[in-house]
Amino acid sequence: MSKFYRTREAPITALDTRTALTFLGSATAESPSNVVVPKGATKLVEARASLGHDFAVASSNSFFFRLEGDGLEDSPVFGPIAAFGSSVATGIRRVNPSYRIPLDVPVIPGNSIAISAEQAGADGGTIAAGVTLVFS
Amino acid sequence: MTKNILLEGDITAADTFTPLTTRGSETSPSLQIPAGWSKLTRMIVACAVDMAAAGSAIIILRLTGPAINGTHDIVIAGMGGQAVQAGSDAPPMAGDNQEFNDLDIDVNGGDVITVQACQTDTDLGTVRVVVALYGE
Repeated sequence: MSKFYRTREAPITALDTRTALTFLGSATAESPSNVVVPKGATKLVEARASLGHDFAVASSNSFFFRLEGDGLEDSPVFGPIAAFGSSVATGIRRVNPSYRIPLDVPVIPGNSIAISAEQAGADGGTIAAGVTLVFS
Repeated sequence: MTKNILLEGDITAADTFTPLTTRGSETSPSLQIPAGWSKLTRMIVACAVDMAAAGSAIIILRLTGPAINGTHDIVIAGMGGQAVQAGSDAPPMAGDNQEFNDLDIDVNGGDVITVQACQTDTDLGTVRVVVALYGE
C-alpha cells in the first residue's frame, strides 16, 4: 500500500494553549482545516514534524502535537516535536529539519483528524509549527 | 545504477508554493519521471535561508503534477530567528541533508512531476531548497 502525505501548519503565539494547525501555506484562503483521512488508507504510520522558532524572548520551551477526531479509531494521539532554550534574545537563528515519529494508529477513511500543537515551559515568541501525517 | 531527479530553486515570498525548476547550470531540466518508475522510493532534501528578516517559518515540499496521483505535502524543516546584532559574527544557517528513505509514493512513469516549496507565516528572506528524488 502506497503512502499519502497530508500537512497542516500554523504559528504558536502563546504558552500552554492548544493551537489548531489548520493552514497550508498559500491555501489559507481555502481553509484546509482538519485533515481528511484519504480513501484507501487504513493506518497512520508516521508523522513528520518541525518548528521554526524566532527566539524573540530569552527562554526555554518544549513543544508537542496532539491528534484528535473521528478519523482516528482511538484518540487523542500525542507526539513530541522539539525543545529549545536561549539565554539572549538577539542574533539566534536556526534550521530545524523535520523529524520522523513512528506511529501505528488505525484510521477511518473519509473522517477527519484535527491537528494541534502546544508550547510548554516559557513563552519564547512566535513559533511556526508544521506536522505531516503519513497514511498507508 | 542509481538514477534520480534533482531540482533546486529559491523561495522569495511567504505562503507561496514556488516551483523548483532549475538545476544549477541547467535552467530548464526535464521534469519527466523515468518511464520505468512506478513509485518514488526515496528523497533527500536540504534547505536554508539568509535570514534577511526576523521571524519564523515552516518549509513544506509539495509533490504534485500529472505524474503524481493527488498532492503530497511534506514538512521538511522549520527555521527562524532574530536579526544579528551589528558588529557580531552571524552564525551560519546550516540546513543539513535530510533523508526520507521510505517515501513510497505512486507515480506514473513518463509523465511530468511538479515539485514546489513554500515558506509559511513569515518571509524570512530567500530560502534555498534542493531535492533529489529516487524511484523504481
